[in-house]
Amino acid sequence: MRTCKIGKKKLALAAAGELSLPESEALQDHLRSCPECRGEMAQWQRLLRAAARRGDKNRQAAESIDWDGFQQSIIERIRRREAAENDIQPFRRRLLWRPVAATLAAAAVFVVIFFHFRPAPLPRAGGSGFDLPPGTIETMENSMARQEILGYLSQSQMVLTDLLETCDEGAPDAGAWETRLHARKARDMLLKKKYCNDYLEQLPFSKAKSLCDQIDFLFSEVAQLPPTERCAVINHLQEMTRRENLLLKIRLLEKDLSYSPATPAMEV
Amino acid sequence: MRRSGREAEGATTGEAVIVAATPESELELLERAKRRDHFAFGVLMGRYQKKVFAFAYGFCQNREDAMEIVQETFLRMYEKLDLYRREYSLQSWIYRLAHNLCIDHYRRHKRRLRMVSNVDCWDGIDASLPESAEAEEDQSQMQALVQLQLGRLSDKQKTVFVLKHQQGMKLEEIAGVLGVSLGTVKTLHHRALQNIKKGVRRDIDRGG
Repeated sequence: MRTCKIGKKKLALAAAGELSLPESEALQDHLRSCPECRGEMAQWQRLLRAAARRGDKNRQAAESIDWDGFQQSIIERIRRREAAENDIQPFRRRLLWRPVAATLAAAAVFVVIFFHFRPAPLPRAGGSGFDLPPGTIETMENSMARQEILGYLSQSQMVLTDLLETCDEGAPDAGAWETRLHARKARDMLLKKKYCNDYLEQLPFSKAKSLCDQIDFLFSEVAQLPPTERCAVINHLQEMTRRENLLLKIRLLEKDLSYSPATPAMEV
Repeated sequence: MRRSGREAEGATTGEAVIVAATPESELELLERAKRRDHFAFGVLMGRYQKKVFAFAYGFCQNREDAMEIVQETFLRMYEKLDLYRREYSLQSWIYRLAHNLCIDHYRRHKRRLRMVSNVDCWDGIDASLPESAEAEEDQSQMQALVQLQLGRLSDKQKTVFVLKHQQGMKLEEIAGVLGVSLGTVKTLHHRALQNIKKGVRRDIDRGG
């Protein structure tokens, strides 16, 4: 057990030559009077001397090596490496291009496959983007027109039937509310007729147009019923309806339009 | 400019000695070596090869391993010449390359090195070591004990100890080699000393 206060660290550093000059001189003064530290210092010096001698031996071992041959072997290895790199460089350039070329080739193959196997685009007609068989548009338009006209005829039939049952001989004069109802229905029919006019102007429906015009005339009269003597006017219209067989003509026309969709309406 | 193969071979002969004797030409040699001048590189090798060997030998305690490390150090140095920066000492840079290779080598062959180290160091140490060591100061036995403890130090402590006490480098230079501060090197040095001393004392006591 050490009793001296001088630390081991200072002795070790002194032995290693790492103390400053004043510190070293102070330690030497102390060592002269302290056998314990002298012994410790001697141990450190012995240990580090042994380490230094080992270093000397290592250097001596270095002297026994053929360094000329060593250098030649190193230079030779360097030359071989450089030569190999020079040989490899063009190959490396090829290697660098290989993935690029492979990618381009794959892209080209993909494009070819895509355009070859993709679904054939629909041929365009008239710039609309779709090409229908010839006459399809006309057929569809005819069908739509027929449906509209049938609807107009069906409603006209019901309104006319109601109108025929108004102001019977035994019945009192129609009430104001009833005439207003007829007038409103007639106005609706007038509007519907305007909507159908575009279809009726088409050549296949020219003959249906004459019947619809007659019905339209009746409805225009109903829509303008005078406040007084309404039944007189209505009776006059009833007379005209019966005389012209309008309800029969309507049914015949409906039948014609319903059962001959592909053919134009026949003359009624 | 690239020299001819004959000139490069001259690096291993007297021509290299003449060039190596001119200390101020080191940077010039370095620049030429960077331009793949084998002759200049051979001259640089001649300046540092023995030091690197002594360091590697002190580190791994095996002549063949040390030679392998020296070879790899200079091959790596040649490959990385472009990375060398002038603000650092060339010697420190070379030692750093060698230090890294020593550590790699030591880690690869850890078990074998430890066994070799133990066998080599205990050769010639008899059972009466304490009396013999203290009485006769048998330096060869002490050297073996120090080497044994050196092999037990950490990589950095070992490097500091070898560079300081076997290569004679200053602690500031060692800091440059390891790329650490001077304070760190002082700490490593102190711990290395204490560990070796403690280990040697323990071995001596165990032998007694």
